[in-house]
Amino acid sequence: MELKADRLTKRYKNIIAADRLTFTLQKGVTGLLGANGAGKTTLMRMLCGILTPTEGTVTYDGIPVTEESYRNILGYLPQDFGYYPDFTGTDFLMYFSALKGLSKQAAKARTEELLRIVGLSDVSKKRIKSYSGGMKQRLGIAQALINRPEVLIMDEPTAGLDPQERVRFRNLIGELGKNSIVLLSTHILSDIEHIADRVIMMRSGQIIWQGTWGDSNESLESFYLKEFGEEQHA
Amino acid sequence: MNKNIRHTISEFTPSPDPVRKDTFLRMYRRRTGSPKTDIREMLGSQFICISPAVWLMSLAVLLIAIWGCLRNRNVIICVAALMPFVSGFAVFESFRSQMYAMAELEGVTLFSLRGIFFAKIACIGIVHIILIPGLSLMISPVCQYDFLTTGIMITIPYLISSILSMKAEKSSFGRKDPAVCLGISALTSGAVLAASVKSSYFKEDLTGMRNILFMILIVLFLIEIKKTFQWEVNQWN
Repeated sequence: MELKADRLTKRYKNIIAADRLTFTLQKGVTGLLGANGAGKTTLMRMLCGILTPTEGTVTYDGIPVTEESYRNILGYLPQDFGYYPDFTGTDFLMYFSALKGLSKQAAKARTEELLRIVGLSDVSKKRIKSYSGGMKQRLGIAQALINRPEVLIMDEPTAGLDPQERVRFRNLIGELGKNSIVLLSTHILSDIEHIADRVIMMRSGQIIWQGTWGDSNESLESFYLKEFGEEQHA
Repeated sequence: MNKNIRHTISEFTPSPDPVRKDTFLRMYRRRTGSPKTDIREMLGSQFICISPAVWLMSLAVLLIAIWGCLRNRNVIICVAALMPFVSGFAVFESFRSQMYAMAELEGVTLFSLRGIFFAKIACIGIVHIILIPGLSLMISPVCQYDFLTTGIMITIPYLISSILSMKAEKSSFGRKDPAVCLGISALTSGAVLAASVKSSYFKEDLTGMRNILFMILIVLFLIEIKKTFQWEVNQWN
C-alpha cells in the first residue's frame, strides 16, 4: 500500500503551484501543512487524479491515479463542495454510493451505517440546505468513506465542526489511518499533533519539510510559526 | 433469504468489528477486482437526478403537438419556437455539476466526471431523439409538410440554441451565471417567431437551403459537444 508522487509539478502560465514534489505515503495519517496558497489543494487534486500534473507522476501500488481502479479505492473530501438542492442526506449518500459502484442494497446499508457514524441519522430525511455547516461537513466526511477507501484524502476535514465533533472526527480519522493511507490538510496544528504519523510542510509550491514529527524536539506549533509566521502576517 | 430468518440470525450473531469488517471487505475487493462501470447503472444514476424542468419542457412541447394533432391546428411555429427551450434546459442541466459545486466530488468517483457528463447528455439525448421524430410525426400531417421537412424545421432552432448555449456556458460569463443559456433560448425563440412573420423560414421553397443549414448545424453541434467534453474534463487544469 503505497502512494508515490514523483517530481510532481503543476504550472499555470507563469505560476508554479506545485514544484517537483516527491514523496511516498504509506499506511497511516499524514498531515499536510502550509499557509494559504502554498499549493496544498493543488497537490491533493493531483493525488486524486482530477488535476493533471504538468510534469511528474502519481501512482498507487504502481497504478496511475487516472485509472478507474484507483478511483475505486479513493475517498476524497474537498475543501468546498456543494449538493443538488433537492437532495436529503440519504439521497446524497445514495447518489455517491451509486457513482462509486455499490449495488442498491449495499448502498442502502452503507448509507445507514455512515449516517450513524457521523451522527446524522435523525436528520437523514431532511434536505441538506437545512443543515448547519458542521452537519454538511460531516456529510462530506461520510461520502468520502462510502467505498471503504484505501486512500483517503481530506482537505480541511474538521473545518466548521464544533470542538467536541472535531475531537470525535479526529479520532475517527486516526482509526481509519490504521488500515489506510490518509492525507489531511488542516490549519489546526493540534489535530496533526494528535493523529498524524508523518507531516509534510509546503511553502510556495515546494515541500520544505517532511518526516515523522516525533523526530523533532521542537513543538509543531513553534516550528510552524517560525516557518510561516511572517507569511501569515503579510 | 426470508426476513424472519434474517432477523433471527442478526439477533444471535454479533455485528463484526467495523475495522475488521473494513479490512475484510478491502481484501475481498482486492481479490475479486474492482467493479466495472456499467453503462446502464451510469445512465440510471443520472436519470433520476435530472431536474424535472427538463422533462416538463419536453412534455409541454409534446402536449402542444398532441393538441394540434387532435384539433387539426397548425402548431409548427409554436413547436419550433419552444424547441430552443427544450435544448436550453438540457444544456443548463448538463452543467449542473459545476453550478452546484458537485464536479469535484463526482470527478473522483468510479464513473469520473467525463462518464457522468456523458451519462447526463445520453439520458437527455435519448429522450430528445425520440421526442423530435415523434413531434414531427404528429404535426407534419396538419402543417402540410412532409415528415423530414417538419423535423428539420423544428430541429434547426433546437440546434442553434444548443450550440450557442454550450458556447456560452464554457465562457467566463456563462460560468458566472449558468442561466445564460435560458436567455439564449428566449432569444432564439424570439428569432423563430420573427422569422415566421417577416421571412420565409417556414416556406416550402427554402427546403434546399434549410437542409444545408441543418447539415452545417449538425456538424457544429457535434463539434461543440466534443469541445464541451474536453472542457468538462480539463476544467481543473
